[in-house]
Amino acid sequence: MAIRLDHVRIQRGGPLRADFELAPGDLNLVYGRNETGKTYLVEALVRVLFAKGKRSGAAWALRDWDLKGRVSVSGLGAEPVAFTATGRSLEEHWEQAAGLPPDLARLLVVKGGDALLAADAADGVGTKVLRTYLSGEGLLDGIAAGISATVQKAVVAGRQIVGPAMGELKAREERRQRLAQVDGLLTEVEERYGSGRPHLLRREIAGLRAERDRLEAARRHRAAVVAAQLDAAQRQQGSLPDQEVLARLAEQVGVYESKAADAQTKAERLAEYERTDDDYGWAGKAAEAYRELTAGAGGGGARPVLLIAALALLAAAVGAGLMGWPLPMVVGALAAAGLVGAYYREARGTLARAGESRELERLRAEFQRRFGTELADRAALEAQLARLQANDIRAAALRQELESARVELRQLAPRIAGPLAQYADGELEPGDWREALGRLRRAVEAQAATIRSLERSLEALGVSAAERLEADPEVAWEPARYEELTAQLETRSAALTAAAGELARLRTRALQELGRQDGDWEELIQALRDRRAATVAQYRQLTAEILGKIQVAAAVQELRAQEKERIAAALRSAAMGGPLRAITGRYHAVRQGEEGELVLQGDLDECPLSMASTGTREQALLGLRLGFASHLMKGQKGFLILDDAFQHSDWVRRGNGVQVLLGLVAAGWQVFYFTMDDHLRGLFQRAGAALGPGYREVELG
Amino acid sequence: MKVAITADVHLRSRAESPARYRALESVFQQSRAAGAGHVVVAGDLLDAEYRSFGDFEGLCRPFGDLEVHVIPGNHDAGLSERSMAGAHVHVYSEARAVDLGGTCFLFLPYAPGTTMAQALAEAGGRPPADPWVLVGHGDYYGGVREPNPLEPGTYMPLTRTEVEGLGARAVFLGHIHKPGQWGSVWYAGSPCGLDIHETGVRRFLLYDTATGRIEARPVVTDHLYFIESFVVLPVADEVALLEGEIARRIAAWGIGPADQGKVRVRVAARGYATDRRAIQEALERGFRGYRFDDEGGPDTAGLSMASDDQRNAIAQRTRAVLEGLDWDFGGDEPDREEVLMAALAAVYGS
Repeated sequence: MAIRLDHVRIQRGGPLRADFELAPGDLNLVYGRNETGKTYLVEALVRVLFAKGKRSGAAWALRDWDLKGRVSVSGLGAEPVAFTATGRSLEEHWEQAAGLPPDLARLLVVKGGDALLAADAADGVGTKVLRTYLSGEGLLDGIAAGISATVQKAVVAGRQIVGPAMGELKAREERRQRLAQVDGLLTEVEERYGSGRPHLLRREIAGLRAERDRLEAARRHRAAVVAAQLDAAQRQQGSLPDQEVLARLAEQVGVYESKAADAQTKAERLAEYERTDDDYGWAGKAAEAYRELTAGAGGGGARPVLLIAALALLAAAVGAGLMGWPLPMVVGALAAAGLVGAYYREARGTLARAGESRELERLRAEFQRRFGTELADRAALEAQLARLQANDIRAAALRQELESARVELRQLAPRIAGPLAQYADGELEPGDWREALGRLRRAVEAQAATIRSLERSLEALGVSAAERLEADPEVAWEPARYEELTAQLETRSAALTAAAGELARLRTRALQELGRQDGDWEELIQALRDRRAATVAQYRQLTAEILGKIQVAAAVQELRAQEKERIAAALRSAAMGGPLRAITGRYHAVRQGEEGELVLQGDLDECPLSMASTGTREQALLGLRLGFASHLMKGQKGFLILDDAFQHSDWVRRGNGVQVLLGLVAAGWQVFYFTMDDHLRGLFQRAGAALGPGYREVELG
Repeated sequence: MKVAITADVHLRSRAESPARYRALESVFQQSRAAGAGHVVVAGDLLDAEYRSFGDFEGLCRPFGDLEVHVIPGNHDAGLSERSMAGAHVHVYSEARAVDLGGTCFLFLPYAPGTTMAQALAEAGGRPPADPWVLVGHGDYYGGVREPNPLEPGTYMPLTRTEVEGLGARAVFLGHIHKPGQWGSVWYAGSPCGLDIHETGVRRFLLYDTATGRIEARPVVTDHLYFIESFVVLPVADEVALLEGEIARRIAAWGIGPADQGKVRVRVAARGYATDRRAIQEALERGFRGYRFDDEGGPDTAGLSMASDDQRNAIAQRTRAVLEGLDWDFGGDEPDREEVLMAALAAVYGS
């Protein structure tokens, strides 16, 4: 089905003074002199029908007119399609519906009488045009242009995309790293959150704490028990004398014992003196008797004055001794001894002179019995009497001393016995005092040791008085187990703290990643999963694009290698030869020369297109234009917009050109010709007359 | 002894969801035939908010020789041992270790706001018996990474590290309806597809307590869902190529003629064709005898026309090059169809 313009309506504007409306026929002539809006109309059709900008298949040089219009086109689908300057372009429609390339547009419009397809090419066509329309190379170029240089340099090797680290490849790597980052974070979050380790630690800690609390209660109860024991021990200690009392008692007992021993000694000495009391009495009487017995025996006897003086001196010496005067005591004693010696010498002389008598013998025998010595004379008796008298004096002194000592002991004894009786349950004899004191001392020391031990125990428990627990928790206090539990609790608490810290840090990272302020773990995990899914989607999309383009680039490379063959085959095709022959009437084919230039082929000769005459060249270019269009449209027919395409031709070729157009119309093409040339108008009018209703002519003005 | 495992039955009343009852009945029948004395339901026995157990008890009644062990899933709030009258139906609302044929099965019911590791810790850790098997309901973090569109969120997760540390011979989980396996972790999958997204022949698992071997058995269901997507290239024999691909896809379903009437298939074609109508007709023809999920038949909205021979030749050549591409398709990487579609977009400029 041919692509035709069914209706054209262009609003007036610019040089076009009135709205233009046309229901086109097969051959349509728009005639107008300068400044009547002819070019305006051509540009309006281009603007309404074809794409502009990047998507345009042609570099239209359009003026900056605010063109408005509507053109209805049939042949694109089941129903005609209306085009406006702001709607979809014809290229989009025919590309989608008919699979025609955008480049087709530039073939259908000859603007300003310029038939050249490439102004910079010697033959007016150029290699680029050939590649565009015949080899598909232009299409390949176009597709390749949509693939960045970075991707075109990239290859897939070892299941990796290898290429420059820039552009899409760099972006892909960044997305891959981003994905790895999100993936790593999500994995870590899932593992940490899903891990039972913190929970297990909490459970273990709770169990350990419960056991330790029970032991703690046991400790507090133990402290209460020990405190009670200590209290009892201290109370018991109060019933015992303290060390000061004990020391004082011990001192007093010592003093008592010392005094008692001294008194004993004195008593013994006194007893000894008192045993000579009988001898002293006998000796006095014996001396009296002896004097009487020996008084008649001549000579004077010993002088008693000596003896009295000796006794007086002796008494003075004893008195001095008792008074503590040693020197007078010694001098007195020596003087008394001297007087006794003098008396003894006198008495011995007297006795020697006395005769023995029976009484005397008895005296002597008694004396012998009592004193163990022989009574030699009166002096001996007197001497003995003097010694006994001295003893009697000493005994009297001792008796006095002994009495004083006994008084002291009687006074001291209650001060010892009283306290001892208080601590020792009953009165004790002085002889038991020291042993009782010993027992008391040992008891006091033992009690002190007990108290110290209890105090240490209490201190070791480390429980204040307020914390002591009277109620028995029925768990024994085990310090070793308590220490063990404490150590285990510390270990697990540290592990839990570490785990909680890691979780907190992880949560912070997750919040930062998600740009959130808060959220529970399940929300964060879901958000991270969503983030991961979005990241994967981006990565997959970009990777697919890169891989796809790499494959496309490879396919393009392969197809490029076949370019010359495809151009040659297309140039030889009937689609190219038909229009060329129809327009030139002489050349039926075209080929590429050695340098790529086009060479027209006739039945009898060949002519490089660049060397052809101007008229032949214009005809050939128009023929080639239609050939290219036929090639692209695969025989499908369309419309041609020719803006004074023949204005530079001579009169003969103008006629030929118009005839060629009539031939195209006959072949099914729709032609729009714009001219200001009256000669061409006449040619069209004559040609149109043959077409009848298929010819339309509009005059602008 | 063999133990059958299924999950995610999502029963409502028999009148509302007859297909799900028949699927579970098929599991029971096949379990009995295989000599399995026990059937384990790893959560979501009931559908959301459904609280009536009479129809399920009615289903169990003829299978008194089977001991049915159920753990509540996230849809089974209120399900407990007291809910069930049948003596051979056991509901474990709390963690319980049960000896089944010499293997200790630790049943761990779903609990919101916790993880399986925590629930295991609460239960006193792994059971002392060996071998042992864990039955739970939730997300396996070492497995599916894609978000679950049916139930977004986190459900009593189990991590790969925990699984490695458990020493369980097998872990059977419910919650994810798509069957799957990652190491010792198995999702039996729903025995009856709940909608078109739960595709393919459904299955249940048979666990041999003597050997630890796990075998998948197909469930006889009322309907079978499939989703098929085709990428079309505008080539001269595009219809023939498509017809061949359709035949391959149907063969891969692995169903017999008797199941043909059960199929509901969603078909879509995308890419570029020289004749969209012919493609549409080829799809309709290829799936004739199967019921389309969509009343409109195959979806060809993503299929564009392409009659530019040059572009088509480039596209065809591109596909040929792509066929030889050495790449790890799938997973986080694009699959072959995605790459082809991207290549076609580059060729056709859309």
